[in-house]
Amino acid sequence: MIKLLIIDDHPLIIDGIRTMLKDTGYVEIAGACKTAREGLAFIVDHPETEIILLDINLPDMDGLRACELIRQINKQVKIIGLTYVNEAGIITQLIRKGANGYLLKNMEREEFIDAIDRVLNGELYLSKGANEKILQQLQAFDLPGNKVPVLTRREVEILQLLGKGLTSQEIAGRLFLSVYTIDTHRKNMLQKFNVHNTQALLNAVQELKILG
Amino acid sequence: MFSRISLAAAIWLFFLPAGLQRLAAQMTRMQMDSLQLILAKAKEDTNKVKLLMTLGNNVGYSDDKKALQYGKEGYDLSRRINYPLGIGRTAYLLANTYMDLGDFALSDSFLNVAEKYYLPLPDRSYLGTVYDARGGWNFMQAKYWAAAENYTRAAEIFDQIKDTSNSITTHQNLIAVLAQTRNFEKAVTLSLKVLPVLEKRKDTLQMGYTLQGLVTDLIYLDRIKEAKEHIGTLRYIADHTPDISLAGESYSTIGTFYFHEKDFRTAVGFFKQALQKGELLGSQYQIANHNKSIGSTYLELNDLPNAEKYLRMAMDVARRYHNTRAIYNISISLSEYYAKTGDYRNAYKSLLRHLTLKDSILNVDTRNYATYLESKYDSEKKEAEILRLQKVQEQKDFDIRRRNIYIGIGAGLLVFMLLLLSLLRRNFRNRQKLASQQAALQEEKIGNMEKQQQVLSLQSMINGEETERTRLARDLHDGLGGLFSTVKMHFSSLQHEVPSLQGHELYRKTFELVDSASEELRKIAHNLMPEVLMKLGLVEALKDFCNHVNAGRLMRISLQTYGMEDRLASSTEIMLYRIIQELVNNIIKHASATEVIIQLNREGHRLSLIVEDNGRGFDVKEAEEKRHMGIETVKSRVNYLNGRLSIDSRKDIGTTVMIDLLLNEG
Repeated sequence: MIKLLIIDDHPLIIDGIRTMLKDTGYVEIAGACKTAREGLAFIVDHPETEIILLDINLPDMDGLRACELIRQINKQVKIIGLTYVNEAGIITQLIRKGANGYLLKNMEREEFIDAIDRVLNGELYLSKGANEKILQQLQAFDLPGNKVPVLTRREVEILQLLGKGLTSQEIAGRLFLSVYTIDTHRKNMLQKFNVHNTQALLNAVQELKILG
Repeated sequence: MFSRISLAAAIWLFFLPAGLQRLAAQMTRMQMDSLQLILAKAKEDTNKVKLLMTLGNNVGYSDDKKALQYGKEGYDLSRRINYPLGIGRTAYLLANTYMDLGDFALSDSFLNVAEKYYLPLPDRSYLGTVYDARGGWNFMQAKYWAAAENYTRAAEIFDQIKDTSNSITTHQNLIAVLAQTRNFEKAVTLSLKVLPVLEKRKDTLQMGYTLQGLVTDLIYLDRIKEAKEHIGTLRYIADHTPDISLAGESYSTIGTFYFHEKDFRTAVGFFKQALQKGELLGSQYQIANHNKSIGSTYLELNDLPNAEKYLRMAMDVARRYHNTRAIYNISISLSEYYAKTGDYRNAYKSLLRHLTLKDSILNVDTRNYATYLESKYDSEKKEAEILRLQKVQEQKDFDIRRRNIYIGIGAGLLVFMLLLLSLLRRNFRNRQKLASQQAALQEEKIGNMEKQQQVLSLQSMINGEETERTRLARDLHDGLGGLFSTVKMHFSSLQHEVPSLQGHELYRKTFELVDSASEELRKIAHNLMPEVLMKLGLVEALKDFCNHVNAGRLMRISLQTYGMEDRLASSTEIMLYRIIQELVNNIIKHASATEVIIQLNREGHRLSLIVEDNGRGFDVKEAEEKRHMGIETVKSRVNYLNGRLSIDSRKDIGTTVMIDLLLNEG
């Protein structure tokens, strides 16, 4: 029998998982812990544990941190994160910290059993909704290559006027904005292009052909 | 003893409203006439309102009744053509004029109107003039601490926007209040500070007022030598100034000086000149005071018939206009008069009135002082915040109601479903009990939280709101969320055990309902406080948020962050997240934009947030006037962060919102 540990502070969840596992015949619940500390102690005492269901909201520790710690003391055990939320950032972090899978708590029996089987087979399992979210996010924000800063409309206007040699004061007058606002835009642009003065900024913009 | 009191009584200080640059705006007779000609032919539009105001402001220096006429006409016209700035400005003019004429109730009403229309204006100087005028109002009603408070508010606004000339006027009014509350030393010090500034600005009018106040204070402090140094200049001002009010007050001050020097003949002469000016102006306040001064001086000269005549006139006017302070001053002189004529019964009666009024004035003063002290430190912030927070609270109440409905539906559904289950499997019965207990507990918890929320103090309200949201979200996840999950787990296991159930219509429906209830709960909890924001911080939460909006395909949001590698204080992160959420929601609701850029720049302590869309734009002024819900919420949150908000929007081009702030953390 494959030994499974549940780390979750909600008593009913343990009950629900027990019900779902009842008929599988090959997985048994070896332990149920309510805190990360209890869970870590259990893993040290029972190195034969093969799979852990880890809630990422625990009363004594952040689940992401708990995952990291479990990984430190046991490299083989399979960890499936359990959460109630479907947020790409958290899922990505969890996988980075060494988890083998991720399930939403409102899963159904079929998906749950499937996840356990796959993870035991050495695969990575992500809940249906999570896959899509992570891909979207990867595409939108995390993929390298799109490194040229995008300018806002206001920034473009200000750049054009800076290019004509106008001072912040003059630009403020022309755009009906305060000098302070213009300065903030200018500082933002210096930071975006990693330059230290207006001339360098204009050069960088010209080089990148952003203003066309 | 009496002479000392009557001297004090002869001293009263002027006030002048800020915003009316009297000398600068003074026009020649000819200019006025030509304006009146234009007025006769003017069309019913904003220009006519402006014209009426110019005329009203100008005759205001010499003829209150005429000013009233122009003011009323301008006010009515502004209302007819729905011209908010015009309504505010004419209301302000009317308020000042009614104040001059002694009609304090009407003056107060118009001040309220002016304030209402000035509040949403970006140019805060208008609001400053209203507080200044209200200070004058309080001053005339002998509510000196309230006056001090209003003048301070006005001075703060003028200082903030660097409006030196109005700031000086307000400071002068503050000086007058200081004198009236017997803080003569302070008043003198402040006057001596202001005078050189005025000299530099070559502001002869304001110099006149300041000098007049200074001399009065010096006399009261018995610093006669110093007072004497200025008498010549003051005399010159009184003879030459076109400002009748200043002239009257200056003559009165000179009279007081001679009174103090026991040169009563000369004193009477100056008081009479003062009275003449007061009558010319039609100021009931001045008329009462100058008559009183003349009466008191005749008493010193033992000219009893004249003393009686002037004191009675003074009393008539003071009574007619409920000028408590004047009645108080006049009754002590009258008492002296009766004592001199041997009418001891009336002498006693007048003295009694004086003493009673003294008590009530003292009481009012003490009360005003207490309120003033109480509110001095935090009231200004509070008041502005209250308005905004009321809006926020309304939204929150609405949210809580909606949440309760969802939770109600959820809990109801739970009970219904568990009933169904108990028919199918006996051992579910125990759980049903547990579940409904939990649900009830949950509701009670939320109920308690609401109550707690209501008593949260104003200062921590926004922060408290977020703390409660976090707690509520956590409770929903851990409590109801866990319950729903378990129910689903059992449900799906049940289906596995009893395959025939799959075709059962009621079973399928119930299953679907549980599913959507659980999904709904997840969404609510997420909206309350996104887990990712707590665990991973602002940037990750924003990525998630943008992803979510982009998935809707209504518009494309891009996120750019610079220097945001370290996390910010969690309260700052939550505030910024909420601000962005609100701004983006507004864009979705109103802007019909296709592109949105969210940009965060952090360099050391400087943080700037830009949210820009390419939507249809909106009228920023109008939105502020209508206290548009979204903007109000954003404003109060930016305020919480001590940030600076600038919104600029152009029709059919888009809107750029910039928020910048200094971070406290390292």
